[in-house]
Amino acid sequence: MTFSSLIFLYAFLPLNLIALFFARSVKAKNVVLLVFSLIFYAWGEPKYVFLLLAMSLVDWFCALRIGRSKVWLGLGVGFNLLILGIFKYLGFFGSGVAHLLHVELPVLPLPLGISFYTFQLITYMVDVYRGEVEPRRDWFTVLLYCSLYHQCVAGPIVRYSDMEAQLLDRKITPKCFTEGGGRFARGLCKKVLLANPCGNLADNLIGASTAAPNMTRLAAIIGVLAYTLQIYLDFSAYSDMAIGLGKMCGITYPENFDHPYMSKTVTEFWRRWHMTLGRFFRDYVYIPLGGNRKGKLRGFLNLFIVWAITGLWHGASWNFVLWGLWSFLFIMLERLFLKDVLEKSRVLSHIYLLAIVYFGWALFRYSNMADVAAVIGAMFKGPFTSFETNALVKSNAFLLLASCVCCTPVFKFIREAVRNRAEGFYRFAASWLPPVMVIIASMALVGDSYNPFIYSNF
Amino acid sequence: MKRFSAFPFLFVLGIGMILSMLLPLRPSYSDYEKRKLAEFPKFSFKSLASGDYFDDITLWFSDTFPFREQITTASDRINSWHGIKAITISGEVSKGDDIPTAPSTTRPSRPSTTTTTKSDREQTTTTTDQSGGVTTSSTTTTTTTTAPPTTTRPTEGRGTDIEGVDTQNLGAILVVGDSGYEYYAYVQEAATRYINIINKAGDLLEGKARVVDMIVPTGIGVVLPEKLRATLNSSDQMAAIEYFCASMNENVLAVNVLHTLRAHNEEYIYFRTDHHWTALGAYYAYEEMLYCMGMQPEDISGYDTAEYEGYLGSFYFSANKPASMAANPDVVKAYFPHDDTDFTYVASDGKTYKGKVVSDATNFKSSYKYLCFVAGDQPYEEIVNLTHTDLPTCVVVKESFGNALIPFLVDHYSRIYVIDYRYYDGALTELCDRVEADDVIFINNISMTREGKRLAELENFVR
Repeated sequence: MTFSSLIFLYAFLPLNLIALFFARSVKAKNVVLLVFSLIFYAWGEPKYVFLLLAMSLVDWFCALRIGRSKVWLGLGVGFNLLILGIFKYLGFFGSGVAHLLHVELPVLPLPLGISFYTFQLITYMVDVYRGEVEPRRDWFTVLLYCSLYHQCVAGPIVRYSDMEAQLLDRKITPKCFTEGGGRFARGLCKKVLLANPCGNLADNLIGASTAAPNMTRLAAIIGVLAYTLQIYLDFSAYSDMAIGLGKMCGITYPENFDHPYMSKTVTEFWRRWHMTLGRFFRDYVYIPLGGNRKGKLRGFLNLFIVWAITGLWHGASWNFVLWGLWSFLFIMLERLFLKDVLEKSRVLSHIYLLAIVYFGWALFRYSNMADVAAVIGAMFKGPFTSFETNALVKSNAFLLLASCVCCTPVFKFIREAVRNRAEGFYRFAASWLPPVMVIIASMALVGDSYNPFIYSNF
Repeated sequence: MKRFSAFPFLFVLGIGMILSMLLPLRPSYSDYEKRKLAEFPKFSFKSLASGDYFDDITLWFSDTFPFREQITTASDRINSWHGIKAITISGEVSKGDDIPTAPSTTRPSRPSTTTTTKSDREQTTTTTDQSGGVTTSSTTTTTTTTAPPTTTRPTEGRGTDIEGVDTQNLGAILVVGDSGYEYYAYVQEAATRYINIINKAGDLLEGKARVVDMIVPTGIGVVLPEKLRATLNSSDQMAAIEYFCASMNENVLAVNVLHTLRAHNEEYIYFRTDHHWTALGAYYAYEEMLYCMGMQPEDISGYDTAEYEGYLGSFYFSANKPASMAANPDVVKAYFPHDDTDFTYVASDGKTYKGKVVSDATNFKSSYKYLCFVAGDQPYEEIVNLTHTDLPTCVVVKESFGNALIPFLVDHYSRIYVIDYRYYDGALTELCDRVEADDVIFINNISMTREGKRLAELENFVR
């Protein structure tokens, strides 16, 4: 099940809210949330709900024993990474060996959300090890923590220490419910009205999985632009919806995006894009490796490792690793000398960032490097445009413009301005606009049966 | 407002939930998409474990949502705000293969004789209009034929000028203002397959029946002016049809109707909101075909006609229901055969029904008006000419394009057997032997000649 579907909006969510309403205590509400989360997960992938249960059980068990011996941390984390590795990276790592041994590797489907809940459970065990939290005696809370349907499938990646207090006690007020609903509605509209059409445009211009031959220059340029917009709008929409749903239940999830396309350096970009992933790798990989406290060379090596892993986390394919290292390259250059150069001009550094990100997404889109080369090559040679390209671009001009505007914080400023100056009107709009937006988004969903999120492949 | 209110949000969710639970309101068929909508899946442990059961429920939930057609129409209006000048191309335009040059054909598509023969009683008059076409008014019997007095190709009309007019792209469909045109991509492998099937038909029926093959071009190759056609990423239909015609063997009479259609391309010969041709377009093709067969076509002004307004066809739906089309729907004009007929057909349920060669579509739904011709796409139809019983017998093998042309054939045959090879299970030779066919006419639109599924169905019939 995905948030941007009619069955979620008009069957799952209302039933969930009704059940939450009748559950009086926080404990009862938690039971409701767990049941619905497991149903949500099983709806997408019936068999692998057992994997989720098993992994959380193993980790809960290991965490209880960490106090006695560090080995249990290694066992727990190792177990998680092993499972993740088998399901996600067996083909990637093992294909060379399998080829030598003349063995057929089994093709394993990627269980839903495995990249997310594995990491969430790792934070639990590590936080216990670091003494930040006490290990839970009850498996229930650990399971609830990693399986909450809001963020289990595609983030934000939460940390156990951030979540524990809220899971055990929270309040739902009309304000937080309404603001949560508004956040959810904004995410839904972003996904259905902007991200999806941008995705269709990108597919029409530069092909769904392979670069189409005879691509005109304009088609390649606008196509990658549409993809750039799609990937941000799609992913940030999902986070908006997850955070909004959490708020409706009185839970505050961490922010995941802070208008990353407004950044001026790649370093800054990664502090605004998929913030919870960056934070995870910083706190649980980079800092344990020593960060930059072990000398400059070691610092760069640690960075290299982190970015290679970041790329690899996105997919078991070399283009993702290269994409991660593409970011690493510019972060390193910025640390060395580029930052000082860029600080001289806000506009130029902004253009620089957009260019790096833009070509980075071209690399991200195709797992076949030949296709990447074809698309980027097509931007620089061949006829500039054709009848069809002109028609496609003109007929989506407003869409592209609106999508670009939504990448800026202009709506956030408007909301804050209204809230500061006309509180009464703000409350009115916050209560009435979201339902209207949900209706409009729902209209687009009718007859458009299935549109999964890009990042749910991770 | 004093406080935040959760009520509006909850209200919308509640209404949506109630609406989605009203099962009787859920549609089961889409008129625009002409397909059955998703059904609630049958339960099985296998489908449950694989996740298919839940996926199918999700699909059913949104596919059959109450008021689906109205909601999607409203949503399409919103989608039209995506860009300027509604110039859209939806769907991927794929470049076709290169078309081989047709070897010079030794068979002209029209007899080049300029002589006129008359019967005892009637007088034929021929007039040539400026574009080189010929109109003949005559009440001759079939023993008299008049060949057109010209050997030059009719010059092409100006077509429809779209400079500066808003165009819209649709999934491999181009929409210009209120008119749609479907892209055509030539595929060599499919073309070879088609040629082999028709040649096989010619061989199977050698000495028994005359095999005629007509490939109907689509609007994009006819109506749009030459200058624009050259800039589009759509394969050259003239080159393709000439290649097809030249590749048929001596047992097949291949008819090229593209020239005559282009000569009339300023007339209403293709629908704007649908991929089919109009009956008028079918008439010009019928006229050309009959000349090639050595027969005398009827004059168009001699028919009784009927007009059915408000037709919105396949392009309207595929183009996300552009307002320009809704404001100017098509008119289905039908020409009634002169002779009386007895028309029966066997439907897909296997039962036999009586019908009409042209049904009254006044009260048909707007997307169904084209079905007025020969009761739509039935697997098997029989048209018995009650007025003339001494005329030949013909078998027409067609998909939906043939429907608009068949009424014109009625006056020339005592019996017509119409086979829609997409739905008919039998075999060509068995049928022709049983009905003692004199002529077997294949009518296919050019898009079909590159569709694997259609070719397989035709292959299955030609045996």
